[in-house]
Amino acid sequence: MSQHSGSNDNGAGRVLDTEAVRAGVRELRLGSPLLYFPSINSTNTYAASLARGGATEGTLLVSDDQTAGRGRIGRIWKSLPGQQLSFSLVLRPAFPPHFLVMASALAVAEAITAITSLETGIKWPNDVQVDGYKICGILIETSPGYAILGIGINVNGSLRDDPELAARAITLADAAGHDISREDLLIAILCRLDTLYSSLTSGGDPAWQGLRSDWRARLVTLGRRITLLQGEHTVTGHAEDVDANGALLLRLDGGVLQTVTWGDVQS
Amino acid sequence: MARERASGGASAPPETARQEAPALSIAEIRQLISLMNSSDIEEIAIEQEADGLKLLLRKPAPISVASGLAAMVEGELYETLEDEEDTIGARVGEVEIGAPLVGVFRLSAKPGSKPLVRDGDIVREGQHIGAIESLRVYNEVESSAAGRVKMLVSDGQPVEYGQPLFIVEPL
Repeated sequence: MSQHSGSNDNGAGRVLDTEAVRAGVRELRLGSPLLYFPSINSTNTYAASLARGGATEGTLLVSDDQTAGRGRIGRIWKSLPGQQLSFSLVLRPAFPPHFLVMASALAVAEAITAITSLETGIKWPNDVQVDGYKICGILIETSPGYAILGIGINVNGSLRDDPELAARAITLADAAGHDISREDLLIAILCRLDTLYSSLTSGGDPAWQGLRSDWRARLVTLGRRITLLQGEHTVTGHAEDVDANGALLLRLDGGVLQTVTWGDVQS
Repeated sequence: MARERASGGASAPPETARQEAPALSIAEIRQLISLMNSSDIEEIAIEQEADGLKLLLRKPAPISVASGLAAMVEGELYETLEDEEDTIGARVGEVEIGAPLVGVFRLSAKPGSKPLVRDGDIVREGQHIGAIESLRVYNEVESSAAGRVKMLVSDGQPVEYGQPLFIVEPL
C-alpha cells in the first residue's frame, strides 16, 4: 500500500499522486491511459468526447476539482478540491448496461471496506452508503458504441459545516476518524472493477447472475417499507426483491407488485 | 444491421416437442430485451416448428413512412395517414423515434444540464437529442434523421419500450 496522507496541514487537500495510481493499475485493463486534470467542469463530459473520438477502452480521467459536479434531482454537490475522488472511465461494454450499475456500486463498496474497514451498503440501485449516509455518486451514460462511468466519492475533508448536506452525506474521513489515501482507494476500486468487468465481458449469463447476486446481497433497501420519489410523485410500498435485470420489485400498499426501473428511494 | 435467429429444435418430432417444449421465463425474456438494447442486434427470433415456442423481438426501428411504404399508391396512403394522424403521429416523410427501453425520459444528457433540444429545433442525423434513464443509467437517444424535431413527451415522463418520443420532419 502506498504512503499518502489525505490532506496537508491546513486541510485544503492535496494534488493526487498520479504516478502512484499509474503504477497501481499498470496491469489492469481499466485505468490506462490516465489523464489528470487539476480542475475540469466534468470528467464525464470530456470522457464522452474522447470516446466519440475513438479513445481506448479503460481510459481514465481523474480530477482534483470537478467544478460542474451535480447531485440528482437538483441537489447540491459540494466540491472539496483535492479531497474527493472524481473520475470517469471510457468503456465499451459487451453486456447490458444495468450490470455496469451493479458492478460499479459493488466495486466501490468493496474497495471502501477493504481500505477503511468501514461497513458499506448499497441503496438501490447504486448509492453506496456508510452508516446510512451517502458517500458516493455514480453516473453512467451510454451511447451506441461506448459507455461513460463517472464516480465521485467524498473521501477527506468534512461536510459537518453544511447541516443540509451533513444530514444525508458523509466523508470517509469523518466516518473513519482519519484521513484516507485517495490513491489507495482509487487503485482498489479500479482493481475490483477490472475483475468484475472482465468477468462480465467473458463469463456470460452465469457471471451476470453471480454479480447480480453479490450486488443484491449488499442492497440495504430490500425487506423494508420505502418511499420512492419519481419526479413529483411518491410511491410507498415494501421493497421485496430485485428482478434479473436489477429492477426493484415493490409491493404497493394495494397488493400490486410493481417493477420499478427509476426513482429515488427516500427512506 | 445485426439480426440473430435461433431455432428451438426444428427437427424434433411433434410429440417430443410437446412433451419437452422449452419455455422462456419472464426473466429470460427481459434478459433478451436487455441484450438487444445494449447491442446492435435488431431482431431476435426463437422458433419451433409444429407447436410450442415462438418469440420474436424486434427493435422499433425509426419509422420512415416515406421509405417503408413507397410502393403503395400514394393517394391511398396519404388519405389513410390523414385519417389516422392522431394515432400514429408521423406523417408522410416524417421519421418517428421511439424509446429504446422502459424508463423515464430525460431531455438533458445528465442531471442538471441544459436540454439537448427544444421543440422545433433543427437536428442532424446522429445528434444526441434525449435520454432514457433506467437504473440510473442515462441511455442516449439519437436522431435517426436530419430535420425539424417535434417532441411528443416531456422531461421526466415515464415511457414504455417503443413509445414514440420525437418526430423529425425532414427539411
